[in-house]
Amino acid sequence: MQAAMRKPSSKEYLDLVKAIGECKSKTEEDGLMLREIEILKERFADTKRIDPKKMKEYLLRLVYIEMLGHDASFGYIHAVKMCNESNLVLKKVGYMTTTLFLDEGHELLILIVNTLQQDLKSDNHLIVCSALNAICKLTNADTIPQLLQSVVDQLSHPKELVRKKAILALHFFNQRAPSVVAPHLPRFRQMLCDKDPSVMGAALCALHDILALDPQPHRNLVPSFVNILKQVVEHRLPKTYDYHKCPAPFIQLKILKILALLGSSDKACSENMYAVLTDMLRRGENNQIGNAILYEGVKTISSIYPNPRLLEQAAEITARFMKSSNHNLKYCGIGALASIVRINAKYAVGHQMAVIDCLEDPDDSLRSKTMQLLYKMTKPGNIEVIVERMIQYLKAATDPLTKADTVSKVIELAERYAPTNQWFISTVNEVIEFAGELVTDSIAQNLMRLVAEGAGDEDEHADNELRVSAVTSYLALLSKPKLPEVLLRIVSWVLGEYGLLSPTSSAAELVKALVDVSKRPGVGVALKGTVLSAITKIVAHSRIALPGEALELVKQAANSRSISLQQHAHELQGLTQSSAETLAVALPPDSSSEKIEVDEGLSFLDGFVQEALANGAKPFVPLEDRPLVGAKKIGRVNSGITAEHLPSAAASSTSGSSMQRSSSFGKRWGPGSNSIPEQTAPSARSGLSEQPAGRSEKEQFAASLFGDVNGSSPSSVPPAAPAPVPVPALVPEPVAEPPAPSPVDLLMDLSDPVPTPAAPAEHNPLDVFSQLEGLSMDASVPLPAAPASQPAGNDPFDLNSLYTSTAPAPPQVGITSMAGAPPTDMMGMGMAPMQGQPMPQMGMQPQMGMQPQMGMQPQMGMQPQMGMQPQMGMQPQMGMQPQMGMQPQMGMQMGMGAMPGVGGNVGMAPMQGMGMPGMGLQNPGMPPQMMGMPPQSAAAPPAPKVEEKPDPFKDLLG
Amino acid sequence: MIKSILVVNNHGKPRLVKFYDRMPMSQQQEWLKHAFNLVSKRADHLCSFVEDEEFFGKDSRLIYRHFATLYFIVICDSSESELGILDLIQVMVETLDKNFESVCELDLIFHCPKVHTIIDEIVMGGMVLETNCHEVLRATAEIAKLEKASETVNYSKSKSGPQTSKFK
Repeated sequence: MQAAMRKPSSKEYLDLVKAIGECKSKTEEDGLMLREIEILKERFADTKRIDPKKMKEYLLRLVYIEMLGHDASFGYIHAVKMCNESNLVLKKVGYMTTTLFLDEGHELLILIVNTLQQDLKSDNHLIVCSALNAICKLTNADTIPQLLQSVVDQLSHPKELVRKKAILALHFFNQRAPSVVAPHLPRFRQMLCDKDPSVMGAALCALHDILALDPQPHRNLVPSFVNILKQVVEHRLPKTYDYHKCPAPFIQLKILKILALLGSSDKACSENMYAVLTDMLRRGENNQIGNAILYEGVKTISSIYPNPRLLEQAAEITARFMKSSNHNLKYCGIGALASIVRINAKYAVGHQMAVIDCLEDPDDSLRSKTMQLLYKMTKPGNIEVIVERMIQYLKAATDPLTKADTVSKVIELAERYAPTNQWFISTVNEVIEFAGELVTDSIAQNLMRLVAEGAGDEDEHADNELRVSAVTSYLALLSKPKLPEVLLRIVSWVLGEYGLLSPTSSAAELVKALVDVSKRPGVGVALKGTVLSAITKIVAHSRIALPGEALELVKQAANSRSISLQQHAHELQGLTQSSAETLAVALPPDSSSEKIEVDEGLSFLDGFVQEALANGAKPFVPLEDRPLVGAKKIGRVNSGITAEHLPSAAASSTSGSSMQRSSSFGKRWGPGSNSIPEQTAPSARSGLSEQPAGRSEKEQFAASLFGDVNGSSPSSVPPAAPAPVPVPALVPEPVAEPPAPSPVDLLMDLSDPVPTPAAPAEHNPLDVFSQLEGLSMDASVPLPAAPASQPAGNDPFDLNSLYTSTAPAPPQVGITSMAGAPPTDMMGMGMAPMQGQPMPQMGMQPQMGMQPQMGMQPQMGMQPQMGMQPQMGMQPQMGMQPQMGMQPQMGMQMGMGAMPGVGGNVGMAPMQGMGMPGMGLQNPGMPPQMMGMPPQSAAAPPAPKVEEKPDPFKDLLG
Repeated sequence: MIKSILVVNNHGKPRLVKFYDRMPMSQQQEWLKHAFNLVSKRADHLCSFVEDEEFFGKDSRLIYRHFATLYFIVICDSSESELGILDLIQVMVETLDKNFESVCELDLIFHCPKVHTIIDEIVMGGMVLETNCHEVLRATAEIAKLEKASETVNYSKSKSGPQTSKFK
């Protein structure tokens, strides 16, 4: 009242304020404000007649209007004018309203610079103070230079009130225009020594912000800060600075923050602080502000160079906070714990349960803070408890951001520390079930890979148990009405791959379950594709007739607008009509967990390379010697593949193998993680173990790509051979020169086998990987011979021979043999399907027709890189491997890409580059999308030389 | 740095709005609304901190205290100590209280300029300027002395006003 009564206020003003205070509803308040705006606009129409005192009142009314959310911009100009008044009271109101109305970007600001300049020079320190206050809101980079000197001058003003405001104004300048203020930076340090503690306090605030940007140059201030803190702690400041019995707590807090910045990872600095910190902790008051200091002290202790005694003290304080019933202290306790746990996890041990209780606290701030802490505290020993709590928390959470955050944390922890695979699978399932929309594809991918590969040790039995349990739990899961699409996709894939292991369900039941999945509302194309391929696998393995419902589904898919669905449908139809042998080769059971071995040296190409060189081909140019652009791109493609493709792979690939192999995720859990280094798996080199030359280069590449994978492989081929350079090879050459002489032939042969599979792969659920595996295993032996033996002639191209005969002639040996020889599925996969009659239907048609649409554009994109290949020509395969390796799922596609030569057979599509101009384009397109195999093009490289290829294609086409 | 100081009553009506971060009017109103939504649904015994980095920006937190009819809300970044800000709010309230002798919501409404003056003495440009209650009062008294010269119109607090409860 007393203060209030002095104000000369009109009745009108008082009524308004009173009305605002009494407004009961927002509508009422809005009405009042709108009326007020009208009145004021009217009054402002004739400003000349307005008495300054009246104007002051009007401006205050504008403040209310603006505070309540209405636009008062029509009156801003009057506020700016008011700053020019000589009367201090009016001027103050002018500044106050201007700072409330305008900000540093407003166009009216320019009008006020002059006024500020004058006021800064005023004899009346209150006017100077008003101006300094206003400066922090009303200047910008443009006007700062004009005001800077005046502000700096005020740093030595006799009144401390002015000095402390000047220092903060200077700090404000420094934030907006550091370059202009730079010469005055030492002033901040000088002001630390000001005799007035208030000024020093303000200087601390400014210094803290400056330090935060770069503590290095200020480390020599540590003794000063320590000294100040010491004086404060020892009650050497005037009594008036005590606050709740605590000496100048805000100064202490600021210094602690500063010390934390300066002492971090600086032992010498930190040692200076230990004594004063100990003293400070000892004297800590047990009230709110005392706790604030202790809390800040704990944070400081945990960020400076660690001192065991201080840490013990900090742990005690933390324990006290954690046990407090005060929520604020608990919250800080969690924060303090999080910071000391970083130093040593042992401090968390005693608090584990207290922390977990906080997770169930009704206070959501506390809960989310606790989540952050738990995440940091998790270790293999406590993972199960913590993840269980986190999932409970997830179920209860409603806020999408919290959920997303929790999901990523749970998954990350589960991947890192999962005690068993079963646990991992059930945990991830649970997470997906409750927050499926937040689960990324890569998580799903990882899960599927785990199911397929098992623990990674050789215990096939355990793996099988894992799969059976997964299948059983997924079948049960399907009874739930609402499941996220990601989960359905996993379920479909697992059922397709391992459903037949189920002790309870027959193949027909599985197919029915899968068909039901596809009928769920909102099922997308990707999921339908997965379902179709799962059905294909089940039908192929069990040899049951397709149930009516499934037939319906297939029919729909065959007529679908989605090309990939059409393809799936055609594959299914084709495979179900083919012979058992074909199926066995095309869809080997459990192909997904087959290991692929990679011949990084592509030794099987050596012969071919030699021949090519002999025929005048350009020798391989190492990556680094090549034009930069292309090289870089290639590199990126290779390394990038895995990561990018994986996610979508699940959806697109039919073959089981594809998913597993992607080890880009690196197995992070479980003891027996698979031995394949990350990303290694897919490499196409399979069989080609013998590559001598360029080894080190390759190894480097492989190491960087996959982690040091290669074992030792003997290399028979001369180093000079282009083969060594794997990378370049990747890039296919779309452009491929039309007919190339003999060298091409060789390539074709070699590549043929491989490529073939590729093409089919898309359509058929073949396992690229398995093929690869086959290659590696079987091929390795015959390979050397193959390349060499193969004549440049067209022989190799004879598709029939290739396909029909399990074990083809020597030339193809490598490939063919694989297919045939290995009783196992591996080899066959790719090739087999293609060979028989099945092929035509399955592979060919779809591809021919479909591909054009799918692939074209993407490829184009890729091709730029291809440019390089021409040189590479020889090393098509090399290229392939990298790709293969990366994209597990892609596997199929890879195959395609990889097998340029093969193209002749099945793979034609991929090969087009070589022979078939038209086709070539299409193919490229396909891979990118489907497989994500940009590299395929690599396959093409051989193209230049491949003249013969055209023939094969023709054959096929014909 | 302190980004904003807000005083809002139990019904979400602003009583003091100060922004130290540059932002357009509309965004200020959003912050006001959002901050009130955050704090008003929290029971009194819960902790005084709310983190909503999504809304207020990275590294920011909201710290508030609830007195009888008013929420004092400070939004700041991590360069301020959480518990320290709680006490800063305490300093503001104590200072207002000493200045108005048992401050209440109506004081804030009627003496808007005075309240701004006091807050400006405590926080300047987002930095804590002064935390010593006596220093703040001394500074504001000086200003008040000048105003005293002006003629005085007596009016007393509305006795029938709806919100006269003391909040200290």
